[in-house]
Amino acid sequence: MLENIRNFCIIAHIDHGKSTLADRLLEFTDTVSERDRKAQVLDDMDLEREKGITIKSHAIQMLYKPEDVEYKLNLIDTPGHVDFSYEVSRSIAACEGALLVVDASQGIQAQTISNLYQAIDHNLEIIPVLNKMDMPSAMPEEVKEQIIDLLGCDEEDIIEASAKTGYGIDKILDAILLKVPPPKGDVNAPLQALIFDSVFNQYRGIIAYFRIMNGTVHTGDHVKLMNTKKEYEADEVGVLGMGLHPKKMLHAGDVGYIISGVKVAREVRVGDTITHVENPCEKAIDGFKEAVPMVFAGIYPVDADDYEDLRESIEKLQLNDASLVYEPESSAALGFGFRCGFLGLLHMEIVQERLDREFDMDVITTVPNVSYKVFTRKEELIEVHNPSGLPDITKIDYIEEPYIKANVITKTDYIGPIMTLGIEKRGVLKNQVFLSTDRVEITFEMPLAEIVFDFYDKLKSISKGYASFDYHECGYKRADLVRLDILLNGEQVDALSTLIHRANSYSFGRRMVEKLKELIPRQQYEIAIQAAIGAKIIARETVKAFRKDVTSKCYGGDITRKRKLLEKQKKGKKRMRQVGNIEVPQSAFMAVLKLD
Amino acid sequence: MKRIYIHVPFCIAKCAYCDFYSIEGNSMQKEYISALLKELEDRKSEILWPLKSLYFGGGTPSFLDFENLGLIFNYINDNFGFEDLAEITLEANPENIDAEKCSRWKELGINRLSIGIQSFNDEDLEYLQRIHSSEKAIAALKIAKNHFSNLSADLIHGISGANDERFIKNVEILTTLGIPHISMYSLSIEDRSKLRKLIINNERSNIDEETQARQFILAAETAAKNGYFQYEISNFSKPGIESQHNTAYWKGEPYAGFGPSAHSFNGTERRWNIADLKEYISAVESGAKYFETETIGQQEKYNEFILTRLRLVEGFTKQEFEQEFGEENFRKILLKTQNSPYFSVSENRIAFTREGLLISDALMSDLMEV
Repeated sequence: MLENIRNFCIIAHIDHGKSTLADRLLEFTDTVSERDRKAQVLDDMDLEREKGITIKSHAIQMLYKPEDVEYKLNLIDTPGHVDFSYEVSRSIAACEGALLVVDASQGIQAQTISNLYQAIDHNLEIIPVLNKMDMPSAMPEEVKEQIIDLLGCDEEDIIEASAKTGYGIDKILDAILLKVPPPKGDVNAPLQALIFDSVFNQYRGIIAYFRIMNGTVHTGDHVKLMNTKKEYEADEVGVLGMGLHPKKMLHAGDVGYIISGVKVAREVRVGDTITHVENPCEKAIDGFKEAVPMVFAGIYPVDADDYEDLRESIEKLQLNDASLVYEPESSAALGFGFRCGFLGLLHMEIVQERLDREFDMDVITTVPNVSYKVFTRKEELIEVHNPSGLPDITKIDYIEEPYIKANVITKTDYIGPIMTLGIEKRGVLKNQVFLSTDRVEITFEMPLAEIVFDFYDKLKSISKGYASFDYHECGYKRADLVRLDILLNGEQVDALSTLIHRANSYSFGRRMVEKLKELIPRQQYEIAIQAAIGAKIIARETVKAFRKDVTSKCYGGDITRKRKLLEKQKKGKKRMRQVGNIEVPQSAFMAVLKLD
Repeated sequence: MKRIYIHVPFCIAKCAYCDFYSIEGNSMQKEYISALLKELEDRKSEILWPLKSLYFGGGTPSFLDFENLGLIFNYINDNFGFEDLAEITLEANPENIDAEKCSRWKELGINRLSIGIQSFNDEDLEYLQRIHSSEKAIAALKIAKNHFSNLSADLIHGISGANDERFIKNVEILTTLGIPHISMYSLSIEDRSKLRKLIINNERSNIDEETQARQFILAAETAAKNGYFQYEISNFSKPGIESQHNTAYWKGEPYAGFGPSAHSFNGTERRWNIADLKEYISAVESGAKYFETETIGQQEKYNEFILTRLRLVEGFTKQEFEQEFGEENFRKILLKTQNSPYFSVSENRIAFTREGLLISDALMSDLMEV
């Protein structure tokens, strides 16, 4: 019965209490038993729990019977970070309603707005929830005003709640039943189901989560994915509770999962459409996109002997992270490794951490960069993912770099410094809208490369943590870029090359060599650190050789302490990279990210 | 184990640069001696007698009352005894030295004093927070010289504000007084020292690496000019008067250490007692555990060989090395050292050059296996 189904998602900023609210809903509907209760049930990965953000989408079915009728409530939890906005859009497309959760002490943030607009575009019924009402710092009147301005709703439509204490949860459930429309769809039409996420299970392969728009699917059906055109047997279909619950059949309106022996995440793309091989639907569901990596970085094993292990680890990681792309590359400084493409900086950080935690790989990650389009004098177009891969300067006609539209929401107090930051980062102010008397949304158009470095940290620090930020790509633009090289005792370190706007190149080069001077420890030889554009040296610093490094007193027979100290030093050195006769610590390869 | 170290954890006042374990005052001597004698009794089976050397380190062993020192000697004489030429050292500070004490120490069997002079310059002594004056230091050395032929004095170089002339003068005073053994240390700022805090709070000026490096070399040159030879990174002596006990540390010989914070090595295991007098006493008396141990595997053994043998100016021989680690490893270490300006490598021996000694920590760490 379609009338008894409600499909909804939660839109919230990081830390505004989305996962806690989800947990409370699960408890209230008795979906999760007391003994299963861990804080934030929905966040499976340790990383998600630690970072307090959702990385993968999740879905869970709650059965709720307030009176005579039992309702199936499908909650689709969405990733809460700009890197995963495509996944968010597919989750939204699978729902009829959304809870807009706003922290009563924080107000609306940029990320929330951009996701909210997506939900409104998809005609979702929006239920505004004012969370964290228990906090002493809650400012309900002010935040309500923001919500009313944004949604044009009435004040009484806004539900006051505290996911922490459980206050208001009953009202939220009632609103879901009353306001969110039941799914539409034709049970008798050909199967048409939207994949909004997939996860990798070590034993069962890829488990794809879908929402059926039309038709039915049975266990054992012969199905195909319309965009990849691959065909599979539906070995198992079912619904998601606390775990997988197999069903013989699911129909239009249902949210469920399918297991079909697929081993590789890339075969099952988020946004793809499942249909039957016999009697397929006419067209795929709109909105399918290939995940496009925005940010690239080299990943190298700390110990060169671990190259094969690293390859294996990245392959495995890609099994459940279809957005990660990689290809082998080699660097004179770092040896053999991989150039990896990520959706954004958080995605990059997650991949790094998962390599460390799940695969115990010690890696060096190079400074991230964006993808450049290089047009040669012979009118060829070359995509460059690595500054050291830039063709010879004489062969280049011009270079284009990716631009983004960056939305910043901030208290009006910080407009000045944020404008300055935006302009420093080669941004052009596009729009400025006051959301309320003391909150403003500022829109810049700026090169993506500028946020890859240290935009977000600076934004947070100049706004004392208040400003929130969101971006969308908006095409490529021509740019006057130069390659800045770093030389150590005259030897170029390929992994330290960066592409930089000509106007910023001198100050950038100066700051780079100063930072490297801090990061490279003194050694037995003097080290000259130089920044160069082409053959021209634009900055230089010197790390002096150490003059004396000797323990005078080694008495009383305490050999252990000294030995451990020297062993530790040796371990540190082993993790460094040898460039000529200079030992370069890993941190130096990320120096550009730490410039003041 | 034929060598014993005894840690005496009492000082009149703690010096700014020191990070050895000690407490100020000696009111807990009685309890300390009782626990120490119990530790000696408990670990009696570890000792092979007669002893080759006994070393009282600290702290300030000369601050220990004569009667209490006597109790320790009674126990050792009754239970272990000494070889004929055994070296028996007491670390002593100038303020504790007088003719009567010297003769009584000598009666007990002590035949070597190691005296903490550090400098003959009162500004240096103030910087270091030593409690004696230069005048007292000279007087103490003269008295000691009348009673002991085997005498060592400690000097510290690289003190902030001390110029090269001042340091050379320190060495020359010792030469003139006829002190046959000198230990010369670079001042280092230890993590747990008062000096570190004083420097952080700007109450002392920091040491300067250039000065330290220069005076390290100067120490060796001045000592050589005055007829001392350098046998270890920090130790200089007239021929035949090297410290036997300390040399045993560098050569990997076993030794047993007693008292709080004392270290022992039995050839395969290192152990160190708790560095807290009260906890040491209560644990020893109640039979609870008061030490930690570490088993020395092949890799640790190798690293310790590098660390200890290369402190000796003579380094190590091919035979000594191969006996422990085999020919293949000798070939490897030869490759790493033979073309370096920091090592003096002959067919049969590997040692540091003087430049190598100056940055020996970095070089040793490079040679280690981890």
